[in-house]
Amino acid sequence: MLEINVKNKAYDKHLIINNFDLDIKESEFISIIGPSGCGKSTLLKIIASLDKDYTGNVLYKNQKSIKNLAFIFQDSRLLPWLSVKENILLVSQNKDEKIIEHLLIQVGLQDYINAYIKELSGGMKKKVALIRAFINKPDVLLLDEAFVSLDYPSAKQLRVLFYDFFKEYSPIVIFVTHDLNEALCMSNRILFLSSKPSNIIYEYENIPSFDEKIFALKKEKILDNYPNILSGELY
Amino acid sequence: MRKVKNTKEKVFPILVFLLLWQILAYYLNLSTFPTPLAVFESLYYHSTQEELFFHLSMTLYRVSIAFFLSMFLGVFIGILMGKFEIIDNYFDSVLIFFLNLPALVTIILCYIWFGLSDLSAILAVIINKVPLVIVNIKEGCRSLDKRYFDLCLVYDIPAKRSFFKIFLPQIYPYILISARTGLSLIWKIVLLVELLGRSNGVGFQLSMFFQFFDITSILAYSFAFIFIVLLIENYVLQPLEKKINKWR
Repeated sequence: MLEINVKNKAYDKHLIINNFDLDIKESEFISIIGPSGCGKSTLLKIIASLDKDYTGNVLYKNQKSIKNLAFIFQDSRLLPWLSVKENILLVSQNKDEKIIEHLLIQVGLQDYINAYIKELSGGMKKKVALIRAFINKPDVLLLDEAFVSLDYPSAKQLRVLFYDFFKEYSPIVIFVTHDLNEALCMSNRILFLSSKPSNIIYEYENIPSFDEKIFALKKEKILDNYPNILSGELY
Repeated sequence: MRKVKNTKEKVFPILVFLLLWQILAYYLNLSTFPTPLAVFESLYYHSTQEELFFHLSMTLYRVSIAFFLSMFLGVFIGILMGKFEIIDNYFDSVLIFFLNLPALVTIILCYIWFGLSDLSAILAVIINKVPLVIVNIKEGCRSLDKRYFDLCLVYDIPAKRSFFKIFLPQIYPYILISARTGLSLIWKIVLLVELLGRSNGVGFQLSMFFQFFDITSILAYSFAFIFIVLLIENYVLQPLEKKINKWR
């Protein structure tokens, strides 16, 4: 169980988040939607301990820190001076390169294992960031608008890949997005935030999760219609 | 093909310069302004004598030690000052003092305080070079992309790994600039140090030739050392730069 309680978070005396209270069950996929600048990304930073200047606390299994955390940033944040393999190894707790090779095959990047980041397209970079996020089988995974700035087919393909990884490792996912369709399709619960100071104004629960029947049917139907599009249609 | 063109582009201005020099020296016909041909003849003569290689190797030895120690100390102190504001605040004025201390003063003081030895000579060069490296590295530390350090916190990356994989690669360009400018500066200071207080090395030989007004030999020795520095630049520093910047 992940318990997030942010009483106050301010920047230069401007209150950004006020009385934000949220409990998340294991393997739950939560999407957060809200207007620009409402503090969604700040909330992720607080959860990731990148921002400690707030009152309140974040507890995972009653511990103050999340030991096995992953974060997919909007900008991928891959180190350009390292190769694809080195970028993944950088965060990996396991030095077994075979696992990396296996994951790269899974996302179709096996030929790019020693490539530098500049040699990759936007979609490929996101795939590497995806592998980097899942390499340690995280307990909690944070995504900050991870599928934006991609063309439509690449974004779709990435969502499917993400879905496969999510099914395999089942972490708690907190996904910040502006895309309601994306949120509806991917999460178990959606939180709608108000503008500053941000607070939960609406909660939409019990959305069928990825591995539930409805999603499977959706995916199946699309694959029937477009058998060549392995990337699948999520909406 | 491009490499051949590059070589041509590099060699052409040198040939024009030598040609102009030859014409000018030939027409002026002064004993204090030898022709490049005379200089190369002298260089050939000295290269057949063992002493040229002995003095070159002595200078190279001093340059190498001073270079590596200056780089190591400069990078180390530069990182400390760049990373920790409190250290920067305390030692910034000291740094400015050493930056503005004339090389000649350092050399004289080192010789007076520590005697006419190699230790004093190398120490004087280090005192001159280290502040310049520190300034470069400090600048490098200020230009670090801090977003990458979020990864260390999120993924709990060990300090050693984050230093070598995230921190250091970002200041490599600054280390490289310090190394390249450092090499050219250090060998010039080493010559001065040798001229003032050593009994061997290129600087010492130059002072000997100066006493006899042997300008041809002065230029021959200088060219010999410039040639070595060019070799280091072309076969060590430039390949290193290429390797470091491969990802760009």
